[in-house]
Amino acid sequence: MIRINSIVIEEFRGIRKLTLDFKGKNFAICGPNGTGKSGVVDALEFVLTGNISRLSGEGRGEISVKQHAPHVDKQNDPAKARVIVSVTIASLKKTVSIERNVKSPGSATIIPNDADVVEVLRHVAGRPEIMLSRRELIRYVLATPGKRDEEVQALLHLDQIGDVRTSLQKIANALKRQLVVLEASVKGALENLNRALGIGQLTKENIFTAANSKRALLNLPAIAEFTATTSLKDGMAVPGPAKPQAILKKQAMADIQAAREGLEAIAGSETTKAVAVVLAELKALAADPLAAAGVSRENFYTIGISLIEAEICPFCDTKWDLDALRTKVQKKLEHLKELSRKRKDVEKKLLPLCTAEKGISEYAIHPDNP
Amino acid sequence: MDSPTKSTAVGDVPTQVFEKFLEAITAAGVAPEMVGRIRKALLEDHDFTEDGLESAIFGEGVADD
Repeated sequence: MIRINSIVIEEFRGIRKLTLDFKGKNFAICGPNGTGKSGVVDALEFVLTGNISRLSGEGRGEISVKQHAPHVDKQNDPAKARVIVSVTIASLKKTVSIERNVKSPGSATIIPNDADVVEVLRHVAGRPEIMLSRRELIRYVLATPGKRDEEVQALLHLDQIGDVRTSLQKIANALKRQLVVLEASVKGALENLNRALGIGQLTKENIFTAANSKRALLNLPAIAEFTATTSLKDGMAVPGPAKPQAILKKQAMADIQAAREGLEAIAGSETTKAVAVVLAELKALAADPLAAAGVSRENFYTIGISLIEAEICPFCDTKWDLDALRTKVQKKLEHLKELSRKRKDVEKKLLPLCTAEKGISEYAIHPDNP
Repeated sequence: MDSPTKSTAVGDVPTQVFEKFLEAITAAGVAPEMVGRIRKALLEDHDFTEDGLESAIFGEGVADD
């Protein structure tokens, strides 16, 4: 806090030269219009901040501090328009002199020019409320109670805080809406958990009792305490991906050896000869038209021969020679029996060959199942 | 003496209010990283928008709903 002791105003606004001694107390100026009352206030603002808010800012057009602050007789000599103020800084217990002229409003002569003094004066210059215009005061007085905080914010340039408050309120409202949804979700999850565990009230003891009784059935150790990573399924085997079955090298080598021996046996001359014989007999069998008729035809002839009793066919009444027919059918039957015998003979020869082939197939490595 | 600008003046009213606010949320136990982000948004970047403050509070990875 600073107190103004005295002020000297020269060639400033409508004042040629004026010295006022405030004695560090409240001070009021009164007088008719145009006698320079506002000039004293402007001088005070100018010496403390380097600016006159009434002459600058939005809506002031071509009015400027440099052109309009000096007295009309000194407009071409702004260095002569100056203000000197003596203030006491209570916190530092220092009395300071500040001098500023309109030619160089951005720089002031401060005595003593101590760092702590400069810091306090910068602080004062950053307080826009040190100078309130009549309009600002009236606007505040006339403001309705609901709007007064906005007027105070405008006076103190607190619109930034208003923006922040509005933004924070919007964020808070959005979070409240999200909270309702999340709380409902939590409630649903708790109800599901209660139902799954079969407990009435969700307490730590109830959860332990319900979970541990089921864990005991699975031979799992009881859970005694919850931590951030505790799971009621702790200790349960988790089925992983099926691992390919390992093949013992010794077994594999034995299989390969057996397959090799089997192949060598098949490739041998004896087997080749046996195959050639079997093939020749099979071809001979296939060439005989009766061979395809097989067993059913053999049965047919056997029954037929027993029916040849009269001299007339029982189906078409055609006469036949009984002995000649019986002999003919008998020959066919014997031929069929001969075919059957040959087939059985070929099958007998084929059996060891098939067995050898089957043995090799078992040892062979299937491409889909290495 | 240079005339300080309104928003960067040492100890101007909004800055003092924001400092008090940051002190209060620090005392309330808000994480120091979050306080640092809010301080940067308010006092360095002068970002008072909803998006800016939301990023400061929740970090850059704030989820859009």
